[in-house]
Amino acid sequence: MKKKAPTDEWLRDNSMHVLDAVVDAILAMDAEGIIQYANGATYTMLGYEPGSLVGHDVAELMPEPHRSHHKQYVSRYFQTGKARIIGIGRELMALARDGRQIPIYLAVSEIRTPGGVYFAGILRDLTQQKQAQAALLEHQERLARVGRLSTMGEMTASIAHEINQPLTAISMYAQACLKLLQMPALDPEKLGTALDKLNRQSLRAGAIIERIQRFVRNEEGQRELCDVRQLISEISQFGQADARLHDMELNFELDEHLPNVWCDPIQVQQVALNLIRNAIDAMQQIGRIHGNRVTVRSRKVDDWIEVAVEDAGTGVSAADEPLVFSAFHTTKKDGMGMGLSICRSIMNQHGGQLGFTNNPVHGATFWFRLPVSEGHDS
Amino acid sequence: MSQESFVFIIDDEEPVRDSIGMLLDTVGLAHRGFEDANTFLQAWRPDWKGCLVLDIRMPGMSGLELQEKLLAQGSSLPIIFITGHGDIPMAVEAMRRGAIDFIRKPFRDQELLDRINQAMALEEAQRERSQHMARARTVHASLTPREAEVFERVTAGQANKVIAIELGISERTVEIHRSQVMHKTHSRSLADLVRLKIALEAQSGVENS
Repeated sequence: MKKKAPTDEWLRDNSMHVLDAVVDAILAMDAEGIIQYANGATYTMLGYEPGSLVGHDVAELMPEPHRSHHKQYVSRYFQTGKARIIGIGRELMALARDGRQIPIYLAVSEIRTPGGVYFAGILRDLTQQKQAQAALLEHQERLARVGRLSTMGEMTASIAHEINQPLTAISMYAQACLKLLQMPALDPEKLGTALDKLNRQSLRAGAIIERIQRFVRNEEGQRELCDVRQLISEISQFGQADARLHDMELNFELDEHLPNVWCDPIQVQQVALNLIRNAIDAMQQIGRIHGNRVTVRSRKVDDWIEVAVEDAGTGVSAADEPLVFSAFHTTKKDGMGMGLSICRSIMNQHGGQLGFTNNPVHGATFWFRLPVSEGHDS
Repeated sequence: MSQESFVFIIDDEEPVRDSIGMLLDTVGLAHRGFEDANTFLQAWRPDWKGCLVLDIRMPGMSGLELQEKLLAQGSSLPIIFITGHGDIPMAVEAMRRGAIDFIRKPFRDQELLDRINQAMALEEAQRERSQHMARARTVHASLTPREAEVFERVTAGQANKVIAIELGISERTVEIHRSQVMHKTHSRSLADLVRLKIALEAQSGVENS
């Protein structure tokens, strides 16, 4: 079938239909921001009666603070020629008639006609895209949580040991108190000291439990500015407990003067703890024949903060190398193979990296890198 | 040997050391705490008396390693291991190597105190036995070669006459040696001499094993 080339005449007759058929909202405004034209999608998206927007100020379609400042934006553009949106485009919110705010991508271009300067705006509705993003994020957060639960599950024995320490002290102090009470000459000062120490141990046990809860739940689940050294120090207790149970030595060499990073602290701790546990496992698997030392280091590499966990374990074989970060791939007897895959997805969400290198002699060094937070350097 | 007996508490957890110490204070047992196995090993002297309350899991040198090193250095201090949940295989190993017992954290005070008393008594008996053996050795060493020969034969049940013939000396001379042996070993009867002989044999038995 032979197509006829569109002619100017055809376009003149049909341009309104074409514009109305476009799924994005298209608006035309004069230099004052008064709407001259809006296509059908504009009315559908924002919930206005067809044709009702013509003659209105486009600022009415913007939520505050842009609504009040729009006049200034336009006059600044005419004075300086510097564009914030025109010809650039950015993500913004549009205000629907019923007050709802709709996420949009806005592109504005200038139209110079013999009759004066006009602007054309194209609004793409991002609602579905944002929902998909949020769903993905939630899915990833859930997955991360499953990972943390499974890590804690594997660490039950270590954690039990860790809580047993203060419990033992509490029980000893309590029994010493009972003995003190049975003495003919009661020494209130001694008794007080013992009770005070007992109390401190119970607080300590409580703090361990609270940290576990926080780690597993991650109720905040939010990004904040974090000092990586502090994050790692906070999980060192879990790591140490695990190392102790497996007769390993866990050393920390943390740079004190590192810039902050923008991250979800619990998720980053999760990645660090995972790498530490893997290191311990890798050395356990070969009966610690190359030593029992795991070292956790932090440093700045270019614009990244790097945390590296060095072990003297099995190393990564050439066969495993391409699969290390794949889900359901594991070299552990009772592993699920989810740990590193979850770690990688956490790092991706943070704009970070996860990698490893086999050590020159024995074992491997797994590391993650997070981008230094711009403008927040400490 | 004017050393007092101590309970040596070796645990990397300060609160655990401190609380056990406080408990021991209430029953009047002297104690000393060490934060790790190495520190204890450095400080250890052969004349130390008492017993060890030793955490089986510690960073650095573990309780089991310390037990091994102490044995190698000739320490006879009895060891009570403190273990956690899931340490049973290690505790069994420790027992196999001569630990007197192990108790699981957290434990009742009486459990610990009973074992400490038991360990102290055991150590006391052991020390007496080893002192007795040491005495036997010194006494035996003080005999002349000829007296030692006579001692061997007497305790083997030979009569003076037989000894005289076998050694090619007079019966009278055998009698003189024999009374020297009795005198030097502070023995009042043949039975005393046999006891000494047994102590010496037991000792060489230990050394040869």
